Amino acid sequence: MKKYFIVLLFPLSLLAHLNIAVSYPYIGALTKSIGGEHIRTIILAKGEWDPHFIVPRPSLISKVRNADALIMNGGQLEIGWLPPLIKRASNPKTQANAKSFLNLSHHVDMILKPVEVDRAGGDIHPDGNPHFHLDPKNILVLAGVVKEFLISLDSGHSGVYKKNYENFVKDWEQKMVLWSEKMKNKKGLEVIQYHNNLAYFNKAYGLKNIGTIEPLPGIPPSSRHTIELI
Amino acid sequence: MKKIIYTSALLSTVLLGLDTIAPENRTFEQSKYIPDISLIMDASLVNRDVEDAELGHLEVPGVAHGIMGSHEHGEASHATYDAENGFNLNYAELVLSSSVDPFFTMDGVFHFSPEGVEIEELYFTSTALGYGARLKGGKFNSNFGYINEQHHHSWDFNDMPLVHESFLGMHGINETGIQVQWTAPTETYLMLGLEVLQGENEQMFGNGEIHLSELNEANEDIEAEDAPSMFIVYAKTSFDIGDTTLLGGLSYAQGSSRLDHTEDEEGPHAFSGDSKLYGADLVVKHYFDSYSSLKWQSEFLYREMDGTQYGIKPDGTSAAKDILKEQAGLYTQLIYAPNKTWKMGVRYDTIFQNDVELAGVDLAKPNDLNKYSAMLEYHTSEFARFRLQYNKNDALYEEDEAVSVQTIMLSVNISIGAHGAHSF
Repeated sequence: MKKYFIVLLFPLSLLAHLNIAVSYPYIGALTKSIGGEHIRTIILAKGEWDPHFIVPRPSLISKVRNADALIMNGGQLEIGWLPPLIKRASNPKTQANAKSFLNLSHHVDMILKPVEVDRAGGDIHPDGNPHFHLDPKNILVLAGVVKEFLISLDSGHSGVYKKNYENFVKDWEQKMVLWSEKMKNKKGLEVIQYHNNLAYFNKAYGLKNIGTIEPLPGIPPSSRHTIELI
Repeated sequence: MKKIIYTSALLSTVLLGLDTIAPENRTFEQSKYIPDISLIMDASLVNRDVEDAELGHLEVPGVAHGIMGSHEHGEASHATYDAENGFNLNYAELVLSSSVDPFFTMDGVFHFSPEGVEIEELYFTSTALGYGARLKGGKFNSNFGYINEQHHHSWDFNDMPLVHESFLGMHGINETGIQVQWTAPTETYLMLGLEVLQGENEQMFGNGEIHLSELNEANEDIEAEDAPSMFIVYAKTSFDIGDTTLLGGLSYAQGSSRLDHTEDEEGPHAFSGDSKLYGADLVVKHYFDSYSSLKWQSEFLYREMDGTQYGIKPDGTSAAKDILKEQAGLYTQLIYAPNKTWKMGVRYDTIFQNDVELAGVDLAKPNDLNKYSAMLEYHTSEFARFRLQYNKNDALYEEDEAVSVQTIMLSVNISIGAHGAHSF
């Protein structure tokens, strides 16, 4: 209902919406929540795919080429696929130094930053674990970052973005209470993952990661390691 | 006593502090500006049922000679990869790349091999033109077709497709010049490109003077053509159907040809004329998930070389005759990757049109030149690849006799340093 209300208030703005390309679906959902009707999000990676191995399909070049802004996760999560797209698209608005480029990882505290950066330890992320969006608290931080980013791009609608942000925060905080309730009795639960994707989630809800199916980050699972794990 | 403790504590802090100034805090420190660096090695163990010495003499009749194995070419010695029986150290590839300023990036690719160092690529690329336009200048692999732009280590087989190696030589179209590409502002990917290149491909193009008078004073030199003398245009488009991606392209290259084979032991000659190359490529890749895929890749090439052939007689005099070559071939390959560890594939190569007309007479060159390849890859990680490849090459001839060459290769390709991003 609220959405329609906003549309009625700013009918002309529909014609001039911002095309915002985002690397992953969660960023798209977040950006859409804050941007509402004034932006169009273009999600590059499919949600069901491993975020490290997104195929840089040529159709994505067109998406980056036509974007007014780009929001990425960062922390080297996109290192294997986004750089060639940005290079091919040759869009000044999506270059890493542009005002319309946002690297979310610069705005959150990343955990598990490796003390030793060496590929002998697997294909590790030197800046820390980049899967930070799975801590619900981080989403609140990122929502604020996205709000400021949208205002910097389109100050004319700053009121709308602020309002959407406030609504989002309110909803999210309610949900966080709900989730904490649900996860209460899971504290201390031991989990095994394929890759340490859930580090932030585990930290937020007190779960314990006791192993990964891949022996080291980016190293395919071996039978020996799997047996050891079992 | 207290004073001594304080002093020594203070002193040690100062000393330790001096000792541990991080490099990035030094006043004129610049290490943060070091470009991305990576080093790639490629080596192989080869077993071929033909002697190395014989291999260099084999030719693809009417199309190319001495493309397999190392061969002397004037004063320079050229070797393709995996040319020798036994161990081959193919190359070390050093890649440096970085932003230059807000307007450009620069990339350098250097090939170190037992023959020396070669600037494989060295170019700047614009980042700030906007409107989907991109300008590239320097030495680079042309974006003609699909495989030409890729480096050796991203190919699915150790050797080049037969038709590419025969028409364009082991470097493909690798020239100095400029490239302009434009991506259309459409939902569907559509890219148009134009390249103006120096035009010095040793197998098909060229613009230099050929000094026939040095062989015999009675000869007239073949005059040089104004450079740049090679022009390329192409269009590429791509769309997705579910988890299947199609990428197709049409390419056209034309330029002057000046081929100096006057020093060759067998049939010395020179060629002067104009050449045209037409290409069509299609890649269909289906993804089962993030780790497994099936890729079907095919390219077709057709060329027309129209000009004069100067046959060199034993006394050094030359005989000029009109020559017209119309040749076509293709390769098609299927690669299956069940996971990140394994990859396997087969390839079929053929040159099926080989019309060579010398002074109006058809030379009746063989036109069913085929090559069959299969490979199996094992990856310990994204950075190390071991590949077992088998080739059966039925495209090679010695004099007028067909020679079937079988090769089995175990190759290793390893990279360290910056993470090489995959392009499609």
